[in-house]
Amino acid sequence: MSIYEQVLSFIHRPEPEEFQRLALDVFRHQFETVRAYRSYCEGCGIEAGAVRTIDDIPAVSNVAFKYSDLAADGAARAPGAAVFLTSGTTQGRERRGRHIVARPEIYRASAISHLSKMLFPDARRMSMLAMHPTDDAMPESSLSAMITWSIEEFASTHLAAASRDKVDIEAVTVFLAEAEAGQDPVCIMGTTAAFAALFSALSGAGIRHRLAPGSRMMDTGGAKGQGVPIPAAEVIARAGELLAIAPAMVINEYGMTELCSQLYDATPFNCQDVSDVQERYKVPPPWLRVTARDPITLRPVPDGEIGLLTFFDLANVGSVSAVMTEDLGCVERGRVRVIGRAVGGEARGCALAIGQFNAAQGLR
Amino acid sequence: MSASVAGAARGPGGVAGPDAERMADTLARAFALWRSRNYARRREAVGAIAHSAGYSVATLDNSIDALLRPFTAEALKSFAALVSASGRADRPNTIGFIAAGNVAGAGIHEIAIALIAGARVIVKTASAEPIFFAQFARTLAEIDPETAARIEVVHWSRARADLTAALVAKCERVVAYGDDSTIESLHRPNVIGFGSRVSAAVVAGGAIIPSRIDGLAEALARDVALFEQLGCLSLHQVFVVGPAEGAASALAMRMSAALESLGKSMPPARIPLSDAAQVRAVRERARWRAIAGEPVELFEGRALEWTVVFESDGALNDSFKVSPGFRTVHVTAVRNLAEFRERVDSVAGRIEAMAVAGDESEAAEIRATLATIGIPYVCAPGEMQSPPLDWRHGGGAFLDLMVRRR
Repeated sequence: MSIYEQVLSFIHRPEPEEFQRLALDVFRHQFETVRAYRSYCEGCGIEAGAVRTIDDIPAVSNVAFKYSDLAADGAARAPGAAVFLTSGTTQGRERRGRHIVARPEIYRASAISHLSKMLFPDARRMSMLAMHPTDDAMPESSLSAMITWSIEEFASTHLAAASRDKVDIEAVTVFLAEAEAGQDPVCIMGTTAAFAALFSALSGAGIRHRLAPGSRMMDTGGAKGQGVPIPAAEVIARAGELLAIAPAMVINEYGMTELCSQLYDATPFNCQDVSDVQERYKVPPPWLRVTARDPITLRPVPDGEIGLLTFFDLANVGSVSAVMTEDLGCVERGRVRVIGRAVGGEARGCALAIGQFNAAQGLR
Repeated sequence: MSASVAGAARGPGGVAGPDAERMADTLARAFALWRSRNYARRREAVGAIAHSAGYSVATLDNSIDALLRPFTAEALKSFAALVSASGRADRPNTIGFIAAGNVAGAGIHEIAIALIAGARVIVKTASAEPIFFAQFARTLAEIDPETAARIEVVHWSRARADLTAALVAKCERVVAYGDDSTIESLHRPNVIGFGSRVSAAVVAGGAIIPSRIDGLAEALARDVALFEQLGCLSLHQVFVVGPAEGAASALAMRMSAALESLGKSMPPARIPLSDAAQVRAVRERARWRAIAGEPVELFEGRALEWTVVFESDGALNDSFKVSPGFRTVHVTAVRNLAEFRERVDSVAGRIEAMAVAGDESEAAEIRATLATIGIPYVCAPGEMQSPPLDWRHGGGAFLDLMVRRR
């Protein structure tokens, strides 16, 4: 069985005790086939044969995807391959990250398998509203691909109410009014920024929808694209107030173009051992290992301590699986608390801090 | 503490003249003590600040040496004469200072000026650094209790906004140090704010000839390392103007060697997690740009103790590189001074100091360019943390208030 088939098989039938062996095989495959990654590893003084545990595998920074094609030579031109681009909103003038996914069916399997557990554990098909373009409108967006696959897999009917430039709030409100009248549960997916725009429009117009029980929403992207970011707790509150979506059905996704797997909020809806709907931890799928790493040593920190969130995603088998982000967070018993991008400069006083400078430059 | 604030408005002050000379003399004696690393109050302050801020004592000692160097008896006496000669009768009688916690002693220039000019001074220290001014005021009291009665050092937590509001209300003028949001939050007309600023260096080919390059690298490395690069006078980016091919890169390499060497005599600070994450981000971006073949070189210490990123011209992002601090510096080759000007446009109005190096004519040309930008403090490499007493800090609004003849 090829390494790709092994990963696909793991996604369909996870065997936790097999994870490390498969991860090491995936790493060796990537070391051999991804030239830039091999250069990086060698630059770190690491040879493939010397790596014995998953923690020894060198993780690339997610910014690496901006500067190098982290895939086997020619992978982008392989039949069926997909190339996803980062939104480019966090570092305005810099180039966009590029994730070459040679086997998108593995990405699809990863996304759908975990979505089915975290957003559709009740296995219902329902009407879906996409407040982000689907892949026909935005083929370079990994979120568009994921939303399109979700529609194919979980929707009875759907409305794609966003173009590349904006969310069609009018179409959204018509959809919501019809959903309310029909009293069938619906699922709404979109960026947190899109939900913020919707909440603002509904509040401004004095409209409150009472969606049917069982309705749910998935937001993603956090502060990205928002002038004044709406905090997670407010998303939950506004979803209840304006759409009558229960707190446990408001599920935030943590994902990035550079990863083929995602994490979702654990709530009483999707995790039996969770009772608190406000305190949010994120759950990775079994094929995604998350560690928090010390930014100085790059070694994993103990459970519950804060570090740079670092992933080993088996579903990234065709590119690079070990990816270190610029987000701080902690991991406790396999669940993840995302704190967010390091801002630094708590004691910067009269000195200009990077965050201030970026804000002044409109880079964030 | 609120009683101190209330009392401040009634205190004496505002009369320069013989008092100015006496205060200058008292200050000179105090600074003379504080320039000695063996002076007990200084030793105690340095130890406590280094411990709480995570600095090494050696780095903090070197930093405070640099900060206090300009406060000679001669400079203070000369400034007292300037104050007397300026003849301003409308100076504020009471001045409150809201100190920042990022750099021990930041604000000492304005405090000395205010005292010499006859004002009564109340210093509200930062939660992160409540020690330096309290100890310095004790030294003044020991030397001359009568003149020292003009300075009072108070401390309360940031949460006590009521006390800060009382300070702002009771003092004729308040000088506030801190980030822009802190200063904006005070939003009163009597507040002079020293907000968020950066500093840089401009180096021309005449300074990177073989006989000078190591000395220059060592001086610039020192400007990076003092106060762990967290002050408004700290060096973030070195612009190398029109050098011969390879010379700018050679300077970056020599700076990295100098920073490595400084790490032994001035061990680096304990880096807070979020700052470490930012330094890591700077490194990884540079590393991958280099791997991708961009004109970038990364020089790095084994842990995160120092980082030098060299970029030759033509690199993609042409804005100023604000450093996360903790000995992280960019060295950028630019073709000419026009290109340098373009790159500092993104921090226009926020540059506090520029170190200049080159041969005589190059330095003159650079200084002429800087004069058109309006940089408060232009100096030689290695001198960035030692601005003179009459430094036009933040553009000079406070200095003008105290000494400019109307």
